[in-house]
Amino acid sequence: MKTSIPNLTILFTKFKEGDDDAFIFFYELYLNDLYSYGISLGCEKEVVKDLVQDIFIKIYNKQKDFFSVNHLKYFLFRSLKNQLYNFYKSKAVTSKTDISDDILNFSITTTVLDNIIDAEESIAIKKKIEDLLSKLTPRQKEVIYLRYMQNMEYDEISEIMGITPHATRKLVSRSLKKMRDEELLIPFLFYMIIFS
Amino acid sequence: MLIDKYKKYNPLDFLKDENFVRWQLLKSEEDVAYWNEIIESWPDLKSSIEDAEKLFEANIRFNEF
Repeated sequence: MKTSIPNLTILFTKFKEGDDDAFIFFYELYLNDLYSYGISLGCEKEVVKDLVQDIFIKIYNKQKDFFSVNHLKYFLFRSLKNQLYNFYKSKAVTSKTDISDDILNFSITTTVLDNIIDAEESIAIKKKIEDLLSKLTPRQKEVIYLRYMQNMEYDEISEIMGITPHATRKLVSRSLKKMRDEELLIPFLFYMIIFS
Repeated sequence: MLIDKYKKYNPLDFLKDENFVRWQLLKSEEDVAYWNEIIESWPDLKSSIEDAEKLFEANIRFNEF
């Protein structure tokens, strides 16, 4: 959904003042992203849906002291992650299974819509993208998703993932390195410098 | 050379190219610089690359449930 910036600023001000339409706007704006994030962490759809609803109800009923739209978005993601973590942790304790820190494993699934592209091409494109992403560990996928697909800041990501900002930067750069085919890029850049 | 490969590409071929996919996926500074450089140096490739970008935008989705 694309909204021009002044519009979003006005809506955000109304949202902070407790306006219902503005609340619904931001609810709808982030609902799918939150579902998607929760399910990508390997959680059941129904659990994610319930927790997302809880988070919005809590926000609705209290003082909305967010600094910015991005701050709201970050708060939603962090709340969902914490709630999911607590939910599955308590479940793990009661069922006495040992899953400790591996509860939330992030994955990225790729869909190629078949609007223009024929089936055979679709499969080839999907495979190429998946091969590239398969170079990453679950935590690397999560950091790449938050940084580049959700456009979050390093300090926000560090809070969501429970690591320091420094470790977050290192995780991002290591992930990029893994996805980058050095053998292709370096000779190319060399060629550009020599012959341009 | 890489550029000879790109010259033979149709827009769909770009969608199967690792460098192109990573650029579309991340839009990281380095990838953006790399593709800007390509387009500037070989303007013939511009329309094909732009079509490939449109195809990617219209057809590729991540973590949609």
